[in-house]
This record gives sequence, structure tokens and C-alpha cells, in this order.
Amino acid sequence: MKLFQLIICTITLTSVAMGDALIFDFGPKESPLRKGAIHITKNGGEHAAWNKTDDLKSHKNEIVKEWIENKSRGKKMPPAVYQNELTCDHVASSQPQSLKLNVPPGPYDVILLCGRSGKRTSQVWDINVTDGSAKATATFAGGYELRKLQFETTATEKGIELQFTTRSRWLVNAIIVIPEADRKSAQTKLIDPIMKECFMLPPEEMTKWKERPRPCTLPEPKWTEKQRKDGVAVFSRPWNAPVWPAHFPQQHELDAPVRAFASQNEYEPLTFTLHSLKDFSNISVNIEELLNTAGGRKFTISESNIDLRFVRYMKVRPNYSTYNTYYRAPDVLMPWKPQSLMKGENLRLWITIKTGTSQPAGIYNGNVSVTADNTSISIPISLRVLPISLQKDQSLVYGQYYRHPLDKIVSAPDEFSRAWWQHKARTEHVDMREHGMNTVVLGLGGYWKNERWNYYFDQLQHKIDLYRSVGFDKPIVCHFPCGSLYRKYMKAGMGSHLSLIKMPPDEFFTELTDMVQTIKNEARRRQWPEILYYPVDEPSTAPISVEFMTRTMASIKKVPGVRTYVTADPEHEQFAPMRPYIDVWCCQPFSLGRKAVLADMKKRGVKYWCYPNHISGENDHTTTIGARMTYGFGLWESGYRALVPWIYQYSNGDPWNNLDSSTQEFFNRTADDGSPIPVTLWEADREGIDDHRYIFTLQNAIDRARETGQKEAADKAQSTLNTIFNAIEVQPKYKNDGLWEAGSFDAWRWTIAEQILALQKLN
Amino acid sequence: MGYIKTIGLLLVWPIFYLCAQAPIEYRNLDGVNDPKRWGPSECETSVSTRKAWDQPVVRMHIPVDYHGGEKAYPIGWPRMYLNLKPEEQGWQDYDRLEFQLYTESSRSELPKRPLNFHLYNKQGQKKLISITSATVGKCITFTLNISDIGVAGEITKLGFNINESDYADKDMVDFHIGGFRLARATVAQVTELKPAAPAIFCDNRVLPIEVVVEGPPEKLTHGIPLQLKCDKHIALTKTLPVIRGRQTLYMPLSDAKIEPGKYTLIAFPEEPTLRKEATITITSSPWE
Repeated sequence: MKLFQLIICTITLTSVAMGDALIFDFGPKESPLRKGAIHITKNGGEHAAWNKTDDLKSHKNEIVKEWIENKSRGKKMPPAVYQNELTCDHVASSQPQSLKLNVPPGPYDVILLCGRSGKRTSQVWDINVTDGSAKATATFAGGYELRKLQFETTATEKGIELQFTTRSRWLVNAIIVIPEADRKSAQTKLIDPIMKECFMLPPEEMTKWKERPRPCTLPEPKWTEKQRKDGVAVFSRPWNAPVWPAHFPQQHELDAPVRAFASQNEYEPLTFTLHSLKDFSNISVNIEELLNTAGGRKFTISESNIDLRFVRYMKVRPNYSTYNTYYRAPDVLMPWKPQSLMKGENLRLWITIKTGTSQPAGIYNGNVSVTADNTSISIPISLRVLPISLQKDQSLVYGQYYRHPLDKIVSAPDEFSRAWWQHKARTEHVDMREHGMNTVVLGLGGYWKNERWNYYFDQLQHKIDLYRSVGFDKPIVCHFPCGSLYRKYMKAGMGSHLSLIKMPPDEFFTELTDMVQTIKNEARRRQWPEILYYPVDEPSTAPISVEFMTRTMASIKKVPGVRTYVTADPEHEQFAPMRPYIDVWCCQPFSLGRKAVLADMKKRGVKYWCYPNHISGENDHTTTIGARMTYGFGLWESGYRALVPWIYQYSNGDPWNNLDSSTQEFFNRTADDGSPIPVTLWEADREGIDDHRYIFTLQNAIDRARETGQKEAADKAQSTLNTIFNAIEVQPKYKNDGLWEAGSFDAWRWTIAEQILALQKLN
Repeated sequence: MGYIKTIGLLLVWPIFYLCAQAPIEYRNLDGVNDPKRWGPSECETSVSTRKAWDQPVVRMHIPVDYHGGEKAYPIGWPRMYLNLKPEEQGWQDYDRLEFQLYTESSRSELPKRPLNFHLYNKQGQKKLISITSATVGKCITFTLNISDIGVAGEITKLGFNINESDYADKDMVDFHIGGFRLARATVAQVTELKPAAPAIFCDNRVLPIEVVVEGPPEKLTHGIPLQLKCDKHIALTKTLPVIRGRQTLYMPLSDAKIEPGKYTLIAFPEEPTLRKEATITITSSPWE
């Protein structure tokens, strides 16, 4: 047993708020100290002692609250995170440590704040803290995330002893110790304000923001006696219709059947919601296998193919870069865990079922058991499996802009961090594949040294190896060091949207051609998939920008056989000079109509792609109907060939706080082990892709029927597709307005499935 | 500002092209047609030679200039704004805002987003509408359902702008905008009817219907009669309670056995002058 360095403490304990709650603020001696807190350095402090101090490090970050001008974007931006005295500093180590807190004996709540290190983004922090029986853990990456670890403990005559262990590095910013007797008053007077300040915004920033909840326009339904007695009502609506946190359900949604249908080897969501009529302290949910016992046989969909999550409400901005307004919105699909539920709130359960490749057809039934304190409810669910093997249009491209985890491995400081990033990259690629993706946007880095360009070909190779390992097979949109080349000549950056561009000398364009030739040679040598050359993102329509882009693309096209990619709207007349040099136009809306797109693709061989950011991250995360439309029926109507939105995941500031930093978070999140946590929009994308698969499968079936002389059946099926096609209210951006009601999508999908089954029967 | 009572013409059309209207009352917003009330930036306002419903018209003259305007944003947003006086507010008692727009330009065709119209409340919340129907050489009537504005409280400010990036450098465009008026129906009528869900399962509990209803609240208390018909067979008739403006109604289907097929949804089935129709597909159920 290690000997503890004893620090003689004063008997008097300092209180910082009501009762005897204590705040321990960790950091270097000179770091700011929270008012009323006890300072703990790597050498310990009053009422706290480490068992050894040789491996402990302490660090402080500046507390920055001012908004700073961003020249490239031409506006002021807030800091990535708002630090305060508690979060700006910490003590950390890569070794196990014990910390003894001198507090009077008795039961306590212990809250630890860990994170906001501000240090290298590739560090993965892994914190395990225990008092010997209770424990709490957190694993997360980078310098901005902050986590709250909490458990109950009992102090002995020796106080509270906490053991810290890690697989990489642990850190602690603050510990709050609350006697059990003071729990209630400390919660409202001390804990809640601190948590708001740490996990939302500091008070002076918060005053600028207004919470504007989405108003509930629905009347309170008539509750049944059972619902009143149970204290909870179950309701169901199509999964792509949002459920707002404290809204009433519609009368007709109460106890509506929870059901879906799916083809073989397909993912399908089923959802229902608990609306609570009283407070519940503990809700638990259990789901077992689904059974099909028709015809005297027994087929199952096992629990391993059933994924249970709940919809987490996040505070969101109405749009990703607006300020000062927020509201709670349905967003992240968290793995299920038992939880409380307050009166008037909704808890939406999200079940995703994966049917097997040869799943026998039929209706599979099951029950979801919900226990809410002393109340038990059973919710029947059913899934009809169709004897259909869906086909996918392999000429379509589904990609994602992507911040690649493998880029972090090079600078990761320890083995655990490297393994974590590797695991993140792998699981995210698998996740993308399972959601229908077939490519990602990549980048090739390079630098000028020793009179030559040096490229990170091996790094790109690793990414392409991973890309191939999950079956991606479409061209890779790839940015390359065009910006660095520009800086070499102009000693300055190009600016966002080429806002700072000046025309470089002719030598720049000559060297650009050479650069692309070098990359192409290496790509051929390494037998890479096709690279689409992407020199600049979203150029503006300013004359100098267009002139620069025209010359840039022309320079790239001097290399035989390469194709260029631009993120710009071809409908802008100002881009006309660029047209002869662009092979792939990728624009945000489906801006050119179907006829124009199909005609131009046929005539000139160009491709029209879309990056539908309006249903990806640039919204309040609830545009699920628009997302499904964009990926499915909308894409079909548009004639476009690809969807490549920005971005699979992007975090600015704390990844669980949408209000900090210049923008809110985009899309999927990350679990402690590095695997992805989906959001409702991501599931909507997959369902849209599946809608398209149904359409394509029927189109193929129609072709087959015509080939075998079954004209009448083929005509009938075609008429179904025509009806759906004509029912689409065509829009350049399918987002919120002018969309089909959520349930229509499944009804249309069913009419397609019926025709597939009818044609299959004939064959 | 004056009130004008106008009896709309009742037009009799073939049953499937109904454009009949209930009588309409108008409230002219005369002051909004005064160019001196509008604050222009990167454009000029003046009195137009045109008229809109005999009312004056504002001319918004925009010479598109990629090199002028604000230094930081040379390709900018020529715009004009007007603050509504208290007596010009109080739109909630009306069904629609209307004005006329005539466009002249050095271009033969306007870009896809030729002109934006904005409405603001006191808190600065705004509704932005792209007037895509603006056409060179043509006078159009712009109509906006008050219920579609979607901004809380009174509308206190109006604005128009173009994005210079949607135009070419040195384009000239003149928008003649006037005849601002609020309109309301004097009896209950449905001006828009469509199935919010153009396809539903036959065992759905409800049929969601999107309607825009006009008329004073006291005339809406009896609800709107709706009928669901397949060929000649009437599957269901219901009267549903409504409010003024755009809303989604839910027609309960549990009273009738609905078979799969193509159906016609009809509002005011017995009143030819008010009748509106829409088509819906009802599919079989995968779970039956």
C-alpha cells in the first residue's frame, strides 16, 4: 500500500454555498480560482492530498470571452468554448492516482468535471474514477469536450478516497462534494447554475440568448382512464415526423399501432413515444425477439438484429450559424438507458430492425415492455417482411464530407489514443456503408520543401485502403494542395469563398498542372479509384473569383483523362466561363430542373451532383421529412446523380453543446469507445436511399416484364410509378414546406412494393 | 387609409376548374404605396407612372453594379424597407395581403430568384419570400396568406431586396410595386385544398388534409363539409371544425370501410360556387 503524503489540514472547512457543499478547483497555483472554492494543485491543497505527485501535471488555459475578427470570413466569431475558473484549468496524469478529500464522515454526492483541456486535438482522454465501489467513466477526444461524472459515496473518518486510472491520460478540473442532507438545496442553488455555466454558456452570454420553444398548437387529448391511472400515454406517428419535447400527441395517435414493413436485408425503424402524465423516477424498457408463427412454423428476428435507442432532445439553434435563439429539438439517437421522465414530457423510443438476407416473409410480432416506476405497459409491435431483394442503382453516388480520424493518428500521443482513432475510423466507415454510402470526400496534403512538392501519399493510401475495405467503389472527390500552392506565390491565403483572392502569376497555373500530373501518376501507380480534382470549395460569383477558377480548372484539365469537381451552382450565369472545364457540378439545391440536367449530361458528359446541406446540418436537426424526400423520391425526380452533403460529423466547440462556438454541431456524434451515435437525420437519409431502391427495383422488374411480353402488368406497374412521380411537388430544396405528410412516404413505398410482388409472381 | 367594400364577381366554370370566390372586403394600405416612406439602399425609389387597382405604385430602380455598393460587399443586396405605422398593422383580422408587381429590365428574362419580399415583427423575426413569379413586361398579383407569414405578433416592417449575385453586372431592373391591400372573405370559403398525405393506407385512422380557410371567425363556427368519393361512390362525409388560415385537418376514417383506390376529396360538395376538389390514393394495408 502506498504511503500517503500527509498534509496537515485546518479543521475548518470552507463552505461555498448552502450547507456544507465543497468545490475543489484543480489547476496550477497561478490559475484563476472559483470564488469560495478550494485550490488543488498537482501538489495537493487544503483538505485534499494526492498519494504521489511525480507524474501529475497541471495546466491552465486563458479565459477568453471576446469575439475575434475572422478575416477570411469577414466577421467576428466567439471562442470555440467559453472557459471559466473551474474549467480553464486541470490536473492530469497518465498514471493511476489516489486523491483523498478531507470531509466529515457521511453520505455524499460527488460530481467531477473533466475536460476542456484546450490541448492537442488528437489526445483521447480516458477517465476512470472510483471510490472503491461506485465508479464513473468517460472517454472522449480533444480539447473542448467537458464531461460530468457523478456517483454517491460515503466518507469515512479518513474522508473520501478517489482512485483515478486510465488507459491513456485522465484529467480533473473540479470536484463538487455535496452532503446528502443538502442535496436538494445544493442542486438548485449551486449545481444547476454551475452546470448551466459549464455546459451551456456563461451568464453574461446567456442573457443574449432567448429560449423560444416550438409552440404546441395541439389541444390536450382526452386521456383514457387507464392512461390517467398509469400516468403515461403511448402514442405513435411516422418515424420521420418529429416529436417535440413537451407537445401533446394528436388524439388519433394515442395507442396507434406500432408497425412497419421491410424487404430482406433492410434496416427499418419503428418508433413510439411515452407521454407522461406525472413524474417518473425510473423508466426501463425491454424488447425481445420478434416472432412469425404463421403456417405453423416459427421464424424470428433475434435481439441482436434489434437496436433500441431513445431520441435525445438537444438545445439547438434554428440554423447552424445563427445566435441568440434556441429551443429543444429531437436530435441524437442515444443507446437506450433507464431514465427519469418529467410530467408533460415525451420520451421517444427508436427501434431499428435489420432483416436477414433470406428472412422468411410474413408478419413478425413482438412486445416492448415498459416499466415506469410501479407501472408496467406492454406495447405490441409488428414488422411485415416482404420476399423482396432490393436492388440499388449502382450508378448513383452517395458520399459524405468527412473529417478523417486517421489524420489524428500521426499526432496521437499514446497507443490508446491511436487505437481509438483507428476504431473510430473503421466503425464510421462501416456505419456509412450500412447507411447506403459508397464514397467519402478525402484530401491529399502536401508541402513545399527543398524545392519540390512533398505529398502525404501514404496517408491517403491508408484512407483508400479503409474505403475499399468497406466496399466503397465510387470516384473520390479529393482536395489537394492548391491553397498551399497559391500561398507559395502570393504569401497569403485565398480566403473563404475566394474572398481574398488576387490573380497569381502564370507560373502558378503551370505549376498547378504539374501538381495534378504528379498526383495522377501516383494514383495510377497505386491503382487508386478515380480521383475527382477539387481545388477550391464554394467559389464566389465575383469576377476575380470566376476568372481564377476558370484558369484553375483549365490548368487541371490540361492533364489528360482527369476530371474536375466544383461546389457551385451552375445556374449562376456568372459561372459560365468555367463551364467548359467542369466535369462534375455539385450544388446545394437541385437547381437545374430535370430536363436541363438530363439533357446536359447527355450532350456534354458532365455530371450533376448535389450537396444538400439544408437537410444535413444547416438547420435545427428536425428536417427529417425533407431529408427522406431529398434522398429518395426527390433525387429520383431531379435527375441528379449524387448526394454528397457536408458532413458526416463536425464539431465546433463542445460536441454536446450546440450553443457555443460559431456554429452548432453537425450530424452524427461519437460514443466513448469511438463508435458512431446516429441522429434522426442520418436515419432519414438511409430511408430515402431505401425509397430509391424500391423505385429502382420496380423499374428493373418492369423492364423484365416487358422483355417477357407481360405488357399489361408492366404498364400497370409503370402507371404506379407515374402517379407517384406526378405527385411530387418539385422543389430545388426539400426541407420543411410543401412536403408530403410523413406517412405518405411509406404508403407510396407500399404501392411500389405491391407492384414488385405482382411482377415477381408473374415470373 | 380607407376601407373599400367590393363584391367579387361570381364566376361559373366547369366543375373541375372552379375559381369561384366568396365576396371579398379590402383594406387599402395607401401609405405603403408612397415611395418617400421606403428607405432604399443601393437602389432608388420614385413614384411610378403605373397604377395598381387605381392606387399609386412605387418604382424600385436597381442598376446592378458589381463594383459599387458597400466596400466589404461590392456584390450586394439592393434593398428598400418601410416601417408600418400602427394604423397599418393589425393584419390578424384579414385573410391575405396582396399587391401588384410589374417588372422592367434590360434582361429579357429574370433570374430564378428575381426579388425577395420580407416581413418583420417587432422582435426582428422575419419571413422571407422569393417572388419567383416576377416576369419582365408582365403585371402579376402577389398574394400571401396571413396565416403563412409564421411570425409571432404584428408585422411592423416590410422589405424588398435582390441578390446582385443572381444578376449579371450592369443589368438594369425596375420593379413597380403597389396596390398594397389586405383582403378578407365575408363568408366561409376554402381557397386551397390538398391532401397533406397524397397516399395513405386504407386502415389509417385519419386522412390528413391541408386547407386554407378564409372568412370571419363567426362564419366558420359551423365547420367545413368534406366528402370522400371513389368514382360515384361516396365513402365518407364529415363536417370538420376549422379556423381561419392554413391548417391541417384530420378526417376520421374509422366510421367507414375504406377500400384501396383513387379517391376525390371534396370541400363544400353541395355548393358549386365554393366547391374545391383534390385527388388522393388509398392503398391496401401491408398488415392485413
